[in-house]
Amino acid sequence: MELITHLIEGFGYIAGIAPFLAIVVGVIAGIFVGAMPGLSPSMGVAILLPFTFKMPPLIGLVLLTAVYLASNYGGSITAVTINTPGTPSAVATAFDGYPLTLQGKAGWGLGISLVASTVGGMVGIIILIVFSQPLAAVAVKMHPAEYFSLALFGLSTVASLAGKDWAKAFTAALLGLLINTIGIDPISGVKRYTFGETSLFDGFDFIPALIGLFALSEVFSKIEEGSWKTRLSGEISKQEQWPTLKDYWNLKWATLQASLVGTLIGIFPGAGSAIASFLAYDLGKRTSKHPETFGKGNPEGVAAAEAANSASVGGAMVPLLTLGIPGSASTAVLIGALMIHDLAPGPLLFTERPDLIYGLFASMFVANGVMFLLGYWGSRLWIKVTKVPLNVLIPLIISIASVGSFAVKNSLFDVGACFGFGVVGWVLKRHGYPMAPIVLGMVLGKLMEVNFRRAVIMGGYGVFFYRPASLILLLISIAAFAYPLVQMRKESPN
Amino acid sequence: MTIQRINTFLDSPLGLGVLLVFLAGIEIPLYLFLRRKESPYKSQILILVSLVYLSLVFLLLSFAFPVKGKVSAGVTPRLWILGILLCSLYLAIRINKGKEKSDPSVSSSQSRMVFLYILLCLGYLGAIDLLGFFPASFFFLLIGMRLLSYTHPVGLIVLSLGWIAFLYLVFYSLLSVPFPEGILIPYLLG
Amino acid sequence: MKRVMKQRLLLLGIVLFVSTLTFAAGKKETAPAFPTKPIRLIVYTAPGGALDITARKFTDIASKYTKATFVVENKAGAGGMIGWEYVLSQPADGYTLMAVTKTLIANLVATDSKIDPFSLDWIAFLVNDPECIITGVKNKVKTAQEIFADAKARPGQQIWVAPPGVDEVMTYKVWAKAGITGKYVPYDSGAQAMAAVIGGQAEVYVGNPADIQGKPDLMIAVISALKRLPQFPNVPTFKELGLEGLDEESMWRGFAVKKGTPDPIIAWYDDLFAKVNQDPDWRQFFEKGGMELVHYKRDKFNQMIKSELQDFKTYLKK
Repeated sequence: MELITHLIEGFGYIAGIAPFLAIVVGVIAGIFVGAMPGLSPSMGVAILLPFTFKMPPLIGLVLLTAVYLASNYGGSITAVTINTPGTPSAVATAFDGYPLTLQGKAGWGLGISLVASTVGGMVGIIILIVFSQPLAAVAVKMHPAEYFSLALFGLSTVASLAGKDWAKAFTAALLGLLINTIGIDPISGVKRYTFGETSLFDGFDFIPALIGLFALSEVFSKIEEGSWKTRLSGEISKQEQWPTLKDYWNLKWATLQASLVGTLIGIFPGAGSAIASFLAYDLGKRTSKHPETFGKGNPEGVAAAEAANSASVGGAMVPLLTLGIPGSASTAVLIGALMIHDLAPGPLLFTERPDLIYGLFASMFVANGVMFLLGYWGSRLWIKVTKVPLNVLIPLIISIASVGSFAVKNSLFDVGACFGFGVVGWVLKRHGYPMAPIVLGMVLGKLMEVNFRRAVIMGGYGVFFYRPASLILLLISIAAFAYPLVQMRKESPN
Repeated sequence: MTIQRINTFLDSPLGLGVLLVFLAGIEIPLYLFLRRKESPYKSQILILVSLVYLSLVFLLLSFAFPVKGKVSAGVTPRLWILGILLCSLYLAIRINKGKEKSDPSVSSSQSRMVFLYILLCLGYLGAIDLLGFFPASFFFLLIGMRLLSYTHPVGLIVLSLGWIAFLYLVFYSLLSVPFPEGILIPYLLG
Repeated sequence: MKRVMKQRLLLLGIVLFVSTLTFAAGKKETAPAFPTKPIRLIVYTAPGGALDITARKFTDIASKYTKATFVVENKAGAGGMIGWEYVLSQPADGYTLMAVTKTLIANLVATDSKIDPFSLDWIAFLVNDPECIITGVKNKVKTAQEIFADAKARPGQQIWVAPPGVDEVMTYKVWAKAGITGKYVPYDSGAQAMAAVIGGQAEVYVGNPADIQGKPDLMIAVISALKRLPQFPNVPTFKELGLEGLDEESMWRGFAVKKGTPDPIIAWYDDLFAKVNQDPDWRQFFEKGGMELVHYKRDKFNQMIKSELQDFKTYLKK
């Protein structure tokens, strides 16, 4: 009850023109940053950070949190319409969202991603407000062994993504993992496969690789198809059909389940929203009545991925507010925003500055609502992109891909890397190697390797088996790897 | 000792060049051979050979990593390489038995356009370095749209300029992304 | 008489005016006005980190004292080598200033970089952040005495976590001086390493006093300082525990320009840094986190870099 009174007070703190304006500006900026390939949520928050220096702390915090929240939705917009995930966490959204666009159902993709994001965001916030204390206590108990097992479980998604060409899917995942080892080894500091090139010391940056593998490889495929004067889909008239309330209602379980997974994964510092959306997508596929249509434009896939990445925002705030430990790159920047105002994030804020905490909670609800309204209006505007003929759209996509890749680290090397990944991706895709496992390998590679080696340093090789949580996760992963393969054998013995 | 020295040489820009020349030296004769045999798996075999080559090179290089700590830096890459080699073997067997799907058939004019476009992208990259980001993007958009037979002259100019203006306003002015200025213009202006 | 006076005064005036003009012109030749365009401040980390905030705070404070505009540019990558190489690719005209930290030196050594450490002129050492040993309040091992006793009871088993580089070297130094051994586990972010201590997977985190701000689950066991800090009166120094030679371990932040930047420009910076160093906002911002604010100029700073290079070579390359 006390919580509710606090929350009502919280709404009081943000009642006014300035906080509302901050939310609206934040949401607009967030959607834009999210939709822009190359500008990740954390970069969006960081770009706006200097502007908040002169604002009162609550307004600044509200603004930046709104950016963070909305950017996780924004990523889905370009993922659905032009197969260019604006953020790493929107990759899984593209799996089913883009096929919807190709089928002339972009409105479905955009509508579901918006509703799922809003619901996911709300679930994440509610869990944050109600359960943050016990959840944070569990999150810090995560041993590197458990992080490793979690990452392995994430990788098992490949098995269910793979389909018939499993050897190619696994090759792609392994290639992603191998690419991930390029750069300075974070454990021993040894340089691996850098070929004396300073730009490779950190390995290939994830975002240019992502843009190359998804957006550019698709662009090259479209060029090869040859019909440049047409549009992404022949059926333009249907593109602007939106799902009805009933359609959304049918997705309620898929959305809720993914929201819970997303929030939980978001809580673990060092997992992240991309992993959250992959795992939720995978779970959605495994629990769906029609797993075979996943990857071919199943609305459940869009709902699962989007609900999860938006829910992870609430999750990532849990360790930030209860322990002072950021749960993601974006929340790390939020620490900076508090520091500049002489405030240290952490549990003490609850007693010292309740106005800040409860005002922030309240603002997150409002931001979610604003995001829904702006997204509703914006996606009706944005959907016109599907009307642009390909011979205009293709050069624009390449141009925005290079801007995005450059903006990540202000480096031309990354633009080159993006083109390189685009060409390699196109060649591989053309011959049946799927792109998603490569990305999954790149997302999980470092998490897996680093935590594996940390765990071994801390507790020897046995640590993975005598820690119950790790053992359970390992067993689930093995089952998750094996199940789709066994299933496939049964169906088509060849 | 000798492996160490070979690896030190290979792990340099020159070494990378040598490795790529080697790859080309394997792939080009193989391509010509496969074309004569009219293999339906021409490209897939070339991809597999590249993957195996990449894996073997990375494996060789991994033996030069200094061994530090309990799990040394080379262990993980070697594990992934093993996986790639096993998958490649499996795929090779399937190709040999003719069980794999054959290469997609695409007319040469369509593939040529992709190669033209890849060249255009490379040119764009070079032009950014030389002319600066905005002029390079302008020419890229112009040529890019023209290549895909968008012919309306006013549309070409308006779209390119409009897009550049958008990039300038949003990324350069608002987000202050420091786009490359190029070396040519400052050089000409002194 | 009066008229003569007036004429003389006029003459004097003219002479003075002309001479100031020529003087000014002459002065212009030896010391061109600086700055005449925006100065780019290169930050070698991504936006939003501690260094980025320091840099932005600096530009904010500096704007009180100079009309010069600073533009913060993030050139992240390769542990700062990308930023460093970028600065070296620019002319040595003072319009490219680089925000530097001790981590940069650690990374230079750790990556065997071919960059000459003195290709930069290290002109201002401003923030000195003492290293400290941090433990979890709910863990069994909390105080310095408990750490050392525990480490001696199970040699090589105690787990110390920290990001590689400066804090890693601090770990090795403490082990060497205290005669203990442990397991060093690298974490790429300090926050995750701290989570490991809060969760009890690790016993000790090596960091700086500001790290525990707002985190009641963490405490400072011992700090590297000559005497106790007023902000943390209950935290002992290494000397009090009988460990010599660990009084001045710190993480510093400062500024550098490309080697060969003309002296008058460096003098301009010296002046600006001196003013910023005295600014109450600037002092308050850092001092509450236990940081010490100083202003060492190029001679002393360059000397320090020399000894630190040696230090890192000994500890990181063994």
